[in-house]
Amino acid sequence: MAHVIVNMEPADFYQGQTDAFLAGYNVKVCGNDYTPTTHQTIRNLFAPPGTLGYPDPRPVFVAVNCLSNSPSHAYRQVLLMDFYNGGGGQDFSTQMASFRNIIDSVQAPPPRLTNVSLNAGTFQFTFPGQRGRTNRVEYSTDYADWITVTNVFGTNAPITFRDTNALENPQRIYRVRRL
Amino acid sequence: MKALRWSPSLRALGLLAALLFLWSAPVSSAQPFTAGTIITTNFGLQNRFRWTNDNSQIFTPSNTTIRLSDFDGKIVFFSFFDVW
Repeated sequence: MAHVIVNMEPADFYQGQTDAFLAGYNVKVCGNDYTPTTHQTIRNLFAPPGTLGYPDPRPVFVAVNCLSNSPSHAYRQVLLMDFYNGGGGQDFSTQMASFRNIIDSVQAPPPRLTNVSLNAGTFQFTFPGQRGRTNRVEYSTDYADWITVTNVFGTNAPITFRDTNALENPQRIYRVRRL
Repeated sequence: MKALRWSPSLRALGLLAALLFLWSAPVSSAQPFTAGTIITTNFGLQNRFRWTNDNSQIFTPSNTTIRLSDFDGKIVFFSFFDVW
């Protein structure tokens, strides 16, 4: 999961104040939505002023599923969009616990190995890719030490791994880890 | 069945009413994304500092744009602070 903190203040006004407030909670601001050329563009995609009962809703919390082949949720589905008209020292711990439950409900596709075969000295198997994720193929001879064979940066297409020297390696255990 | 015939004055009145309706109709705008909907735009925001993701992809310093597609493979949680 990636957590992106967006400061909505203009650079020449209260931006520093908001940065300092968040830094007090050991949170680093990641992005701006108030630049010389854009003004609250992303906020307005979710919570435009006046449409949700407040002239200017704040703060706004949004979670988006960017797992491209999740079996439980669609790609780029909005998991939650919540806003509050509070500010200052409001405690959001209750809301955060609710957000966590919603986010944890997203299932990732399991990287199961299929089509396992050994033909003419070539051992191969297939596993599902996932856009934006790296699949690390590892092998072991004793289930204890695992050695990286290759890293495959995933698309949604299936990935086939081949070991063309399988007969020279009489005992190997393979696994795939999604990083 | 008898066809309805509008006199010229009725037609003018109808046209005026239609124009008034169109003029008073709210300007159509995109609906905001709410929970459950699918985001159809690859929106971006201005990056504030140098950082990397788990795949060691480096996002360059400020004045560059991070797009939603940069978070493929993850769940991304946005917190917008101080929106007034």
